[in-house]
Amino acid sequence: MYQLRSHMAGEQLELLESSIAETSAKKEKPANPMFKATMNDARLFRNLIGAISSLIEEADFNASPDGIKLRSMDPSHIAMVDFEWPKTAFDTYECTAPTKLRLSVSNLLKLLKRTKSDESIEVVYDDANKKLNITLKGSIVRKFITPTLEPSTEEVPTPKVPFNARVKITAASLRDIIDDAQSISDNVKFEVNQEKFIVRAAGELTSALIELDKGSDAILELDVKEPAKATYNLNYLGEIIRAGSGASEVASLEFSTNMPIKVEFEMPQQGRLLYYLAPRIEAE
Amino acid sequence: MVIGLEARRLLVMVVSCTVEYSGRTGSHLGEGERLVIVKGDGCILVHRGRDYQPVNWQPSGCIIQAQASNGTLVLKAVRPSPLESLTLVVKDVQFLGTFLLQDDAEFILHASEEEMQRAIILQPDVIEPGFKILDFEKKVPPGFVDVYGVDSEGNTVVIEIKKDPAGFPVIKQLLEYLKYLQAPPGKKLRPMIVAPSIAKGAQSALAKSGIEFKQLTLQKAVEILQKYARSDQQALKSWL
Repeated sequence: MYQLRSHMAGEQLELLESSIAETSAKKEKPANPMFKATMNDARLFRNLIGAISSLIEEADFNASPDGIKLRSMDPSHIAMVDFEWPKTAFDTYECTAPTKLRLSVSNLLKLLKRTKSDESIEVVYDDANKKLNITLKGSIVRKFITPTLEPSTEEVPTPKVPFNARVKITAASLRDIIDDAQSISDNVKFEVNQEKFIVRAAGELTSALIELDKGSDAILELDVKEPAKATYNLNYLGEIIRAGSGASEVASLEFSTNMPIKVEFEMPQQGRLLYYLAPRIEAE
Repeated sequence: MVIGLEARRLLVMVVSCTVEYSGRTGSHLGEGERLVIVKGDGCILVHRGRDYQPVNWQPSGCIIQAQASNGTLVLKAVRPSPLESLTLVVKDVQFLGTFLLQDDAEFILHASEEEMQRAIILQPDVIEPGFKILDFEKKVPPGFVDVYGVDSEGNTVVIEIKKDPAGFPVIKQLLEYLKYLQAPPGKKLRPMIVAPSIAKGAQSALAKSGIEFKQLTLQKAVEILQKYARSDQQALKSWL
């Protein structure tokens, strides 16, 4: 810029300066933002970002006039997160054209970490600057401006799995089960038949067996077409369940023998938060 | 046979036997004809006439005992920690041989860049603690970035992998990629070559280029792969 100016005549310089002034005025007040959404309870937003950050470092958020969607695989391609937030999940929602925003999820979570219960949130995408403006309003107003990244062009397909069993369970019980299993092993084996849901974990010396009957308080629904058993890595499953149970009270597990598991958390206002995790195939 | 065991020779037998295992779990295998191998370092393998893996085995470091009485031979391998034992009751011996094998050759691995890449993806902290992978085979106009990630401070790390000593071509290739890559605002771009060593004469060019070098031997890469291969973790790819 300095060099450019030194070669310019006075008149041109003035013109350049006025155009700089004009753009910076535009930056302060985006006339028609591509994307703007607000939520009265900022913690809902934080919990959802937390649920994504457990597996993924950077992700593409697809904002459309109907809502926000995200589907992304973890770098090792073992797990996938798939979430959808319809515009009705927000208190106000405006999106004039489909927009893809790539964000560092961990960075976003850092900003939202200290969100308080009485705070509301406003998220505005500044298309001209490619920046996301986040305003948290409580007793004080906090405003964060964070850059967006270059979106990827890759589309992630949904896994096609014929699920034979579905277990609907309270998220708190599921979390307890997983915490127990994780204290003794790296893997957990899920088994299900028409009567019960069985969780096994085996460490070097200790093993655990947790049986939940169809009538148990923790089991909300047990729908089994065919008995199934499969083993999953607890590092991944633990992250998924801890993250999901922070955002929801009810979880559904769908799986088949030696197939990926789908873990879906019920969300308010028709939102959707689900994960897929590939199995471990054990040699008998 | 006892002489062979005492001399820690390789013992090979074809026998009719039963096998009992007790320890962390238990197992029983009824009578049948099997190939039994006892190696000098105290490991034992019991093979049936099929499958590549033994049906029963004990790792190196077992105490091997043999006792004959009333026409049966009892061969016992006890592993002290964790305490477990394998007991063979042998009825009939069809073949028995002991050997002293001379074998001092070095084991040479053939690993490819793809295997090195897979090892980094499976265990990113082999690069450095806190390193996270964002993408691999990331498309840039001149080609594909092998591994693309962030360090613990949020700097972008661009990795090019070579299985041979890293020389001028890879430095040039990586510098070419960098023209198309950008770090997030306020962060650095860290180009890095991952290879077993640096080629002779390329050291100063590497230093001048601002590219970091991280050593990853093929041996180490294969160790990581083996560690994860045992885990039998599947990827979602098969279901997409």
